[in-house]
Formats: sequence, structure tokens, C-alpha cells
Amino acid sequence: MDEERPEGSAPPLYVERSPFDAFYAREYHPLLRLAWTLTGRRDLGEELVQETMLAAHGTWTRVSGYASPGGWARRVLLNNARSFARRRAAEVRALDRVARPGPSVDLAPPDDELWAEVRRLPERQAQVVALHYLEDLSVADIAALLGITTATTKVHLHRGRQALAARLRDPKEEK
Amino acid sequence: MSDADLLDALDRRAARAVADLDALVDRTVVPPLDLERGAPALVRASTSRWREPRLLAAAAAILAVAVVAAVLVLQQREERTPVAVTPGEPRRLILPPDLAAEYDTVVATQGGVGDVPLEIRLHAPEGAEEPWPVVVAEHVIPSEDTTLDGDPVDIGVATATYEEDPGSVDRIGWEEDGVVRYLASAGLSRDELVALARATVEEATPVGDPLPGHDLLYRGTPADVYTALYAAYAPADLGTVAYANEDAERYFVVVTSLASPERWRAAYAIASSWEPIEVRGVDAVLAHYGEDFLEVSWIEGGDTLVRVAERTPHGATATARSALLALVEQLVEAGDEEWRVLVGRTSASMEGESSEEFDGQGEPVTPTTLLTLEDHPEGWGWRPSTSLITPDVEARAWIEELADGTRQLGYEVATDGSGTAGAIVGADTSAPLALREQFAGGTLIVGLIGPDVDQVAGLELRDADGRPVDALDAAPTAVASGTSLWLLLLYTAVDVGDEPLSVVARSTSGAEIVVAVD
Repeated sequence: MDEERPEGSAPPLYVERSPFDAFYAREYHPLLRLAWTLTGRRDLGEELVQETMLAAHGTWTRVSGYASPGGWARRVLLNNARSFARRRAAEVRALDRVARPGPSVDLAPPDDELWAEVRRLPERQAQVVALHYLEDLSVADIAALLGITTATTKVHLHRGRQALAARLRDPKEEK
Repeated sequence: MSDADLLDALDRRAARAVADLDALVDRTVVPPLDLERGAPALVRASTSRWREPRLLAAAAAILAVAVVAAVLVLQQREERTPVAVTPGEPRRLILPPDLAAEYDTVVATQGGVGDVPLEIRLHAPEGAEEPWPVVVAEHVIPSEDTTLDGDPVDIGVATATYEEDPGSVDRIGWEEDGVVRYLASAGLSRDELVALARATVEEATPVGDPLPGHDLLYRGTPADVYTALYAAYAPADLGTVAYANEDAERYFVVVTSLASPERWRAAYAIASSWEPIEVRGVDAVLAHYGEDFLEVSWIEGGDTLVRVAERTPHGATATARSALLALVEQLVEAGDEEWRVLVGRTSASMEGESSEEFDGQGEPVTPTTLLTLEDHPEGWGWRPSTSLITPDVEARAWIEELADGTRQLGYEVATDGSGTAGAIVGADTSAPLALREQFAGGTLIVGLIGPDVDQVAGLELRDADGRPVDALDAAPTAVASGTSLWLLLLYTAVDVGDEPLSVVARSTSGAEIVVAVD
């Protein structure tokens, strides 16, 4: 996105990024964390982030005016993660069967047993739990981001964590 | 291990997983945005789905105007790209006090608890531009919660029926994979709607995807489409104030929510007809629902969708239309405090107020805030508004009928990081009873007072010696009234343990009713 510089001119000391570029650079990693864990595959996560960012780019005039463009992007990503993963899963599985040269890439996020259980939760619970752990957001912030009440958020978080704890309990830790 | 230990272990494990993930992600070079990918395939952000399918089954057939509250999320959209979400509060429009005083019932509600468990999707012809004159509304209900009525039609499945609704729009429904899928549109002829359903079946278009030849324009809740309020399932940003005369001769509601063009289109998606008009100096839509309701909608101040619906028991005459438009011009914007007080008054005290739900024929169906067990054995159709007991504690209670015909008082409370829910059986006795429910956030006292108590002036929690429990960090809240029953919710952050307690309710005549707390 750099502009061409006239030959012989000194490089600028400071190039001001466009607001979208700054938004993109700032939000890419946080969105990737969400997308990776909620799709279960890094490549799918990256693709989902790209689609989310493209959506933001296409509507940037409007989105940039929102109080929280990052919140908007998270919401779009969260609400599309499950259907996106489902839609792409079959294609990806087919592609995976085709031998591809090059080093193997660990596609699953670290401790995917945990994230797989998060993905098994009802969609809204999964979203709330993911935001709680990955973004370290307060209940009020999660509620605002998802557009639901704080009470609902608390219930989702409580039930989601309870379900995860029950499913992931380690028999070795039992006394 | 205790539950708390399990949750701690979960939190520790999640923290480790996030740290490992952060390390990997932080090493990732941010790639350039691939603008060559073309338009994203994402659709707008989804909203909650209804939890009470039967409500939609009823609502789909009628334009219900009720007086309870609703929860919604804000959705906006640009072209056919994902919906945008703007945090913020809409304006609240109400009648000025002198005019509001002419009505016997003024009930205001906002938000609710729980997600709206059913979703309505709006489809517009592919490539159509605002204002999307033709839309198709789609909703899905579990098969066991609905009945396919109407004429059998052939769309390639055995169960399809076409149902005519003179008070709204016709719809076609069919069963697939354990659900019934409905399509309705005022802009399509019967043949066109049948053809669209057939194409949907033939192409095996999954629920949630755009219908064949269409773009998914909007995903919302029934509250976006029906000027209806469903307690506990109200969109968070949606507020309603209802005005009714004693005999409901005049009954109308003003619904305000955050605005988007798509949400506005959803507002009259199932109107039997509509026409563009102008009110308050801006473009508006006057929608007709048969002869039974008129509804005006517009965007106020650029950010608030306002819908004003009035029941027209004598038909949608020119007089009724003029009266509604005159009323619209008189609405004023409520201040934050004024709105808060109005909503708080409604949720805290319903005595003497009657509010009703009307079906498409203009007949009262179900009183929603003044109810008695005898009047409303169905139970499920009614949910009380959320009670905000303290800024951090929300609770609600309701009467529900069990499969064996007995009734119980259900309740739930949520506070910071914790909550609880339960039920008191035996609610059909109307006998005074109360119990304590202790949870991490405090103690909820919930119970029934009655019979022969139609108003409660105050509630107090007392110990075994009759002394008020100190530091009661709660506001007593009565959430429903009838001729013989009050439901009550009390909350205290004090650890009351097993100490004997009683709730003392003072009636408006000064009498005290003492209810022991189990």
C-alpha cells in the first residue's frame, strides 16, 4: 500500500497509515486468535479473518464511524465462524487428501481439545466463552459486543464454563 | 473435586492455552489484505434465536401487540456485506405527559433476559437495491411446535401447505429435517411463492443460506417484524411504551430501537400492504395489516427506528389513519431519566394496570401483566418482565404449567458471574409460600403471596425475631399481580444461611401478610 516515490527523492521519515491499514494491522492478530480457535484450523481461521477484513474494507466509510470498529469486526467474525467452518470443512478435507509438498503445518490451535469443546458448546455460549478467555473481556464488554444483556451473558458464560469443566475434568485430578 | 475446583482448573488450562496461542499468533506476520478475493461470502451478523417456538407459531399468524419487553441486537448493513453493529442507545419516543394522562394504562418496557430463540430472516431479490420493495420472510420452527395448516401444494415434498392470512401475508410451509420452514411475502403472488419454495427444496438450500435468486438482507428477531413484545425475549435495544384506554377502545404502542435500512424494511415485511408517507418531516411507511392494525414507521434523527402501531377495531378507515398520524406528530423524545423511571415503574409495580395482547381480529387474547392463575392456565404464553433488582442483579419469575396440569413458579436470577434458577411447585394452590435460593452472588427470596391480595405496598425481609434483616442490599420487587396473587422477588447480599426468615408484605390497606421462608 506504499505509494511510489519519485526517483532520487529521500524516503519519508514517517508514512501515515490510512485508518483502515491501522485498523487491519491492529486487529489482525486478535481476530486470528478468535478465528483459529473457533474454526479449529489455522488456515480456515486466516481465511475467515480475511473475509471479515474484506467486509470491513468494503464498508469502511461506515464502519470507521462506529464507536468500535473492532467490536464490529469481532461480531461479524463470531457470528459467521460456525457456518463458515461448516461450509469450508468439506472442501478443506478434500484438499487435505491431495498430497501437497512442503513442510507440514500444525493446523490445530494449541490445546485443541479445549477449543474443540468450546466449539461444541451452543453457538452463543461458545462466543461468550471465547471472548472471555481469548480477549479477557468483562461481562459488560462481551454483552455490548454481542448485543445481548449482561444477564444473558452471565448465564451463557456460567453455563459454558460449567459444561467445559465437566467435559474436560481430568480423572487424575480426582481425589 | 468441587465445581469451583473444576472451574479453577478450567481457567488455568485456558490461560495456558491462550498463552501458547498468543505466542504462535504474535509470531505470525500480518499478511496483506487480499483484495482480489472479491466480495466476502459472509452474511450479516446473526441474532439470537427464539427460545419459545410456540410464541412464533402464534406470532406468525397474527400481528400481536402486547405489553411486555423484548431483547434485540443492533444490526446494520451496507450493500450485501456483513451487518454492522453500533453500540448505543436509541431515542425513546413517548406521548407528552398531558396526553399520556388520558390513557388508563401506560406500560413501558425495555430489554429482557435470554436470547430470542427464533430468528427471522429477510431475503431480497439478488442485486436489489434499497428500499427493497419485495422481500421474503423466512422462519423455522421445530416440527413438534407447529402445525402445517392451509392447502396442500406440490413443491416436491409431501408436507407443503399454503396458508392464506387476510390479516397479514400468505405463507407456505413445509417440513424438512425435523423442522417446519415457512416463507411469507406480501410482494410475491401465490405462484411465485410456491415456485420459490420449490426451488429452495430442489436446490436443497440450507436454512440460513440465501434463498435461490436472493440475497440475505436481514437476520432479526420476531420483534423486528411484529410490533410485539415478548417478556424475557426482548431485544436489548428495543423499548416499547403502550397506551390503552380502560376498555382498550384505543390501544397503541410505540416501539423504538436502533435503526438500519434493513431493520426498517423488516418492520413492514409482513404487512398486507404499505405506502410511503411523510411524518415529522421525514419519509415514513404506513403499513396496513388487514383491517385490524395500522402501523407507521420511520427513522427518527437518523439513528432510531420508530414504529407506532394502533389497533383499528372499526377498520383502517380514513379517520383511524388521521388519528394515528396526528398521534405520531405529538410524540416527544423522553429523557434518559424519564425513560428509566417509566420503565422502572412498570417492572416494579403493575397494580391497577391492565395490558392486553390482541390477535389479528382485534380481540383481546391474553392479558400479559395482570394475570391470575385461573385466567391463564396455559402459563407458557406469559413471561414477566425482567426485574432489575440492583444494578448488578437481574431476576424474573413466571408461572408455568407442567405436563401433569399442575403449576409452578419458575424463577431465575443472574448477577456478576453467577446465577441460579429453579421453581416452586404447588403454585396452583395460591397459598403463601416462599423459599430462599442461595447462590454465589447472594440470596434470592422468591415466593407467592395470596390469596386476596391484589396490591402490595411494600415487602420486607425479617429475621426470626421480627427484625428487618440488616443491610438488605435489594429492592423488593413484585413482578406480577392478579386478584389473588403476587409473585415476589427479594435479593440480599447478606449471607442469611439457614436463619429463619419471613417476608412481610404490606397491602395497600395496611394489612401485613407474613410468609415464612423455607
